Amino acid sequence: MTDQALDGERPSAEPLTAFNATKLSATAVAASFVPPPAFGELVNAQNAILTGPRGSGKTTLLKMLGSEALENWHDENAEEIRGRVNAVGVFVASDRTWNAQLLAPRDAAVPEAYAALAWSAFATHTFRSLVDAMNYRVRGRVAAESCRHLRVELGKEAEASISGDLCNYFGLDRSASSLPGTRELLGRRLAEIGAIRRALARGVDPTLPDWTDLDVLEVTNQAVFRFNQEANDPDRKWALLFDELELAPEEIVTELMAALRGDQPLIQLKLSLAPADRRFEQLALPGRPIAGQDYEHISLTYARKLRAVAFARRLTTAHLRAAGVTGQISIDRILGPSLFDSREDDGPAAEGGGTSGSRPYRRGSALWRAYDRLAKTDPTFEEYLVGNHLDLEDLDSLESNARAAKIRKIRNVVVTREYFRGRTGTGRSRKSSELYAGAASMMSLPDGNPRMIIALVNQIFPLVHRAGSSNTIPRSAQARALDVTLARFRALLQAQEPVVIDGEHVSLSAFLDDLGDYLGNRLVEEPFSDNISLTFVVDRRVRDEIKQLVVRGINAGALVYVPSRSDSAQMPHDIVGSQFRLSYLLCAQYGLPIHLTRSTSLSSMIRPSWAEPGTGRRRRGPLEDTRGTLFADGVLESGGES
Amino acid sequence: MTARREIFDVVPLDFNEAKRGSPNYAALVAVAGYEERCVHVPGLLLGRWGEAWVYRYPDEGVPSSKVSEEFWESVGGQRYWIELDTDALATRIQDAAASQRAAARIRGELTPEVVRFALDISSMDRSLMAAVIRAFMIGSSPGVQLDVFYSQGTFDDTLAGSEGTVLVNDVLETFEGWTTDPSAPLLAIIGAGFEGTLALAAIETLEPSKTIMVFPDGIDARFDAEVTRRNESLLAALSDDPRHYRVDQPYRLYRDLRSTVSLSRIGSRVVLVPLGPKVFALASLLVACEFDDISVWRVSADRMRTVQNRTAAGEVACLGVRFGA
Repeated sequence: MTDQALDGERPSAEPLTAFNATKLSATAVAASFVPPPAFGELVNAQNAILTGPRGSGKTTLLKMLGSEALENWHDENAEEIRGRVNAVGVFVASDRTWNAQLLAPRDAAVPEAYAALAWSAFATHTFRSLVDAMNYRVRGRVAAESCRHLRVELGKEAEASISGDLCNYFGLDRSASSLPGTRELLGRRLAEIGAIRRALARGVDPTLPDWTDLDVLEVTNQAVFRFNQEANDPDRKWALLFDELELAPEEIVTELMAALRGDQPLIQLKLSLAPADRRFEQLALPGRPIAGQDYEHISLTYARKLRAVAFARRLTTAHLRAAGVTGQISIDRILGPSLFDSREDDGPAAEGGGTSGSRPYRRGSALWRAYDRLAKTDPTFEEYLVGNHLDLEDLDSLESNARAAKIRKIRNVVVTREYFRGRTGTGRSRKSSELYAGAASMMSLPDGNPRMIIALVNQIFPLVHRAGSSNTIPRSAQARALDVTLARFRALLQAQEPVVIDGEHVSLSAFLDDLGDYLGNRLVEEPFSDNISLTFVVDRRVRDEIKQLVVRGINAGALVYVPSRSDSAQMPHDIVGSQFRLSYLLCAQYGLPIHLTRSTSLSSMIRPSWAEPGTGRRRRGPLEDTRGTLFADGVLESGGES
Repeated sequence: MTARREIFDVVPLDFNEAKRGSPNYAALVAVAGYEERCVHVPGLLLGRWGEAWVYRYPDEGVPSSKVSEEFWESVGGQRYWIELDTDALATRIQDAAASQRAAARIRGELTPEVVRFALDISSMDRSLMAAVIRAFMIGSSPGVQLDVFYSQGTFDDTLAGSEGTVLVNDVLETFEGWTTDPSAPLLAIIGAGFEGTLALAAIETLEPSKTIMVFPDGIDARFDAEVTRRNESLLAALSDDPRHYRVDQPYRLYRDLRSTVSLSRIGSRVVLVPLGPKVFALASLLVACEFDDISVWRVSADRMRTVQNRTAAGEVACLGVRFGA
């Protein structure tokens, strides 16, 4: 390789992962933190399970419960929230590489020894994170006196006394006289575990030391009790914040979930997991912790747009400011109007809906022209207008009467259908993503996923600088920014493990492409309907392998669980019977409206080989399939609100 | 498994010397496969190895498979088919080294100072290469030297590379490494190749704090241009120049990669993602054997790709691994 010394400051090549909080220090996370709606719930919860797809901000939220992040957070709400965080946050980092190291080799002769070592490594890592949090309370750099969070003053003797006891609790064969010294010894313990693993691999006697059997939560409780005692703060709770548990060995997650009952008086648990994880099944067993009683389930998935768009707007504004876009930032001005209406899912309170100012349907407006063009090229739409006594020449005057609701209800379907129909009005045309330009839609597309929002905003920064923060970025440039973000999202999807169906590998991308193309074709080629179903319910006729892909799609953020208004946001353990939609970012890929519609059974949408025999869509190609079948087969329920 | 600097050393090797000089290899480890390249090095070294230990890939039904089958059939009784079994191969290595030393003693010769083995990685997949390297780390005694050979394939602009559905996206078994600080930032060092999508998939999976892309400079400018083209989206995200290595200089690559890893592992966890030419995988595996904390990640779509014949091009590149150094 060319001789270039490593430069710690050199920017990295990560696409979507560039803003992953895992890689940022607590201070750096705090510097750009914009609290999502769920943050307050997480602060208030004693024990919690935090779920969300990749990039939904789980790591950020957990890190923000630590004193260092809270002290370095300067948001207008920071002081109030800092005062509400009463437990000392202990962030326990994790990632795929670390968890891969914990697993036993496939053909291990003594898997139980590897499991014990994985536990021990996990416990040691937790203890070290605990010591880090203690150390920060004692000697972490104070950014501002007014921002101090749960600091304590300990004399040297007190620290030495605590450290000695901690070393004893942790089963260390040496004793340290300071917290940093204790940390160092725990690092050596981790090295020792690695050496034992390597010895195991060579077939050496797997007799394990006693300390491999320590109970992580019991010892942690003992340790914080001792610290509290010396700090004269006897009732102080400590929150263990376990990140990325979806990657952790099964037995570790099982144990932590069981501990949500709150057996350790000084310990709170906040566990981050992917939304679809079969280990949730154990929470349904008798005697297990109960949501709402023993713990709170906090979801970072937004099925509906209101909260997601509001959060996206706040995060975008903050990032534009941080990137040096100064003055009065108006996202509506920067991105301009959207043809989509963001209100239909959530009522009139949503922000940024509409186009062409306060009279979006006036004759000659972009929106009116879309309705007009569709009426001229699509006889079924014209029939719909006539049947509903809607006169395009008089749309503007409908604002105050009941028919206005009808026009607004079909708006997102109309603009998408019109945009993607071919010139003759009979086929589906491939067009750019320009349709999705504009503030209301661009803020809807990331589904409230901060990583996706930042990735999109990152593409837009240079355009804002070029245009000036008071000018609108051309729609074509917004479309290009969207395309780049989409390409990166697709790379993440391509990284997901495929399934094997009848000897063929089927990837998540292939499944989504098939589904998305089917829905896109259905949207433009079937007779117009104001009740089209573009979401799906997973039914029992779907093959198990495809259900696995649905689960992977949920966890990757490609599919979004849609609870009914009365359901809790927590996804059922079994996805059968639940409604899902494609993420709005993927809607832009497949030419679908940013719009929540009613659902159809998944087995009726997918190719026959992906469903149980006798089901699946009846077609050979995408065009043939949709004709005459659209509203006839397999509609299970009307979960949407259009 | 302990494989540290003190038990092996990597040395430069000149192919012409290896070909002309005195070494007679106790055994050559090679493959029978779908591309003619797999018999190029064995052909050049014919007569210089005592036994051939050959891993046979499934017959893909392409004409080039026949070429290698015929070659290996023609070498007759000196050839043994082997399985992907590290422990069995390690035993085989121990036995072969012991028998060569014993034979020398019987002939009344001085016991050979060095027992040499040859390994041709030109057509090996990364898992097999990892198993073989690991077997040598386990089975080699002091005085064993493994000479590793690589012949680059001829460039063909229809080459599809290993793209498509990502089938493997996980740590390479026995190369998972072990960190003493799981909260340290992760550095990914990715060898670039035709597999641009796979590189992106690895990054999305690993979520490294920092990524270094390392590009091969081959013997054909069209190859270099194609690798660059296929990694454009990643390159666009790099704000500084990527690093480069010469495909025909594996020792230098190993030395530079080792130096980078050696510096980086202070304060970082390092994961190597060996996409691209096999010499990068070789260097990665050797470096990972040396440093216990390094992980090697495997991303592959191999089973989806179209089988394409490649013939050898240019000089054979090589390096030596000395055990008990």
